[in-house]
Amino acid sequence: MRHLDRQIRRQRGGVLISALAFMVVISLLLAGIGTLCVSYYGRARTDSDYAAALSLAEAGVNFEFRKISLDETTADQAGASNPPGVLYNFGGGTFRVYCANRDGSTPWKPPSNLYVIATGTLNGATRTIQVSAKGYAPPGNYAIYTLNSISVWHGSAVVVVGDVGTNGQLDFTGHPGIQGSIYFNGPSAGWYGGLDPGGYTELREPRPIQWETVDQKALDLFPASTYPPGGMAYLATNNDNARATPPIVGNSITNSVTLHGPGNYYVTNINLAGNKTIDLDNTGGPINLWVGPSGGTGTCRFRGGTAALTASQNPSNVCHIYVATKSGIDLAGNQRIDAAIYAYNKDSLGNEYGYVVNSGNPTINGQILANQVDINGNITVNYVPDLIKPTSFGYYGFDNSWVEINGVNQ
Amino acid sequence: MTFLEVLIAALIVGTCIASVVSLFDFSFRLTLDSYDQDVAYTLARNALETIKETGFYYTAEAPTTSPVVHYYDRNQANQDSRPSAARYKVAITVVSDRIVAGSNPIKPAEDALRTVTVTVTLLPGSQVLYQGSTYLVRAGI
Repeated sequence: MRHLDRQIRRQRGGVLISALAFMVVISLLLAGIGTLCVSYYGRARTDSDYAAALSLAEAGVNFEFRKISLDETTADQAGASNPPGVLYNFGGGTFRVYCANRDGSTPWKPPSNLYVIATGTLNGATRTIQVSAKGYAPPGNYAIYTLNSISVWHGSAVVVVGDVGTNGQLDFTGHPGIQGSIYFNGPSAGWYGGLDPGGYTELREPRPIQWETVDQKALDLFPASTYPPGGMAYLATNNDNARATPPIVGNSITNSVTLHGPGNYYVTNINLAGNKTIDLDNTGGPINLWVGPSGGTGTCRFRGGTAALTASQNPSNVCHIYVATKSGIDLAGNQRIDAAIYAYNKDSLGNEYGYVVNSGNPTINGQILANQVDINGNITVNYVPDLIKPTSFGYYGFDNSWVEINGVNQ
Repeated sequence: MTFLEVLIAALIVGTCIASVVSLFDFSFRLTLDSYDQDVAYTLARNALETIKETGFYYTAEAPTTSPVVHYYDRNQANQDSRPSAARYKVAITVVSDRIVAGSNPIKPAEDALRTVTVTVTLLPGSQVLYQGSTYLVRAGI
């Protein structure tokens, strides 16, 4: 009986112990499951923030592309801050962005190629990317480009196959046939008096396009260090005038002549009438005809200009007519001109000039670039690519690489 | 084993069972939230990448007053034809700071900065699960 009592006493509390053990096991399970759920939820949030941070970084790069496209002098630079760059708020987070040279040095010196480095941050998640960027040529296949002037085009018989561009103003008295777009580049560009003749595809770019002057072109080819005194002054006395048929005497053309390429010809006077023409024999190489002196007011009544080889037949033997005078060039006659006509220059004060006008109805296979182009009648201009290139970029954008710095995509 | 012991043990076991049930509910809701979060992110990322693929020039303007809206069910299947069956609503706005004057439909200017915002909302209701933004520019990434 005593033995039975002892056994019952030992069994007392057993159910409590079992219940407590059950509770401990359940608590452990609860803690594990709870931790798993919370960590899964936390990971989902973090993944989401991590991805959003990348979007912010990419937004930062695009933001900078636009900023330097509008004005590269306002580029965000690394500066002295740590971390480097300029901080912007965007989309509930932030991005920090700056530009660097391709060798990694800062500050970026425009207009060279660059890296844009941007860091996106959201809820503590941070990602940094480095994107290569470069400047792109201004859009437009310009058959005619005018600069800071008012160019007047008369009538509706003018035909332009290609784009027309200007940093200045255009004044159409009729409705010239333009088989391309009209680009107004820069804040001063537009229709004269705001009078849009209608019927054209207009495109506007924020920045004016920069072009070399004729003097600069001459100096590029004949630098003063190598060819003193360099440029147009050098060409005035060192040219291929004697190789022309017949030779050009006194830097003046008043009769028919054939210019042979390769060659640089320099004249101060062209006055051709009737059947007298300048022919371009570019079978041996390109031809440059320079009309000077810089700022001069001599006569340049041009006729002819038909090349032996067109640009499509031999792109490396193309012909250029550079006009450095204030009086410009008059395109007379009805012949075909296979050349680029370049009449843009500046005086010592930086005032721009250069003039192209037509008194004939030639067909120009090339490009016309001048400070002012006044045309009329039945003149036709057919765009030929790559004869004239600007010195400024139209905009900046992605080049060829995108890497994540200190990240999985590096 | 007394009645009191059994009572206390039952209380402990009952509390445990209640906790399990409560945690089950909590875990279920948390897992569902996580799933919704994952789906929302996926839908938003898909929308952003689609816009990037469409590009600066060809992405239509979508002001905040008339966003582009798509509906998706729990399996991320499109339900634009049956919004009532949807669990997620994806609203996309594309706003250009500069546009071609007089363009209709609106075209971005060449130098425009286009702000793209994607908002994913849980239906029914208006709980925002995810909101992501980016910029589009000419020659951008």
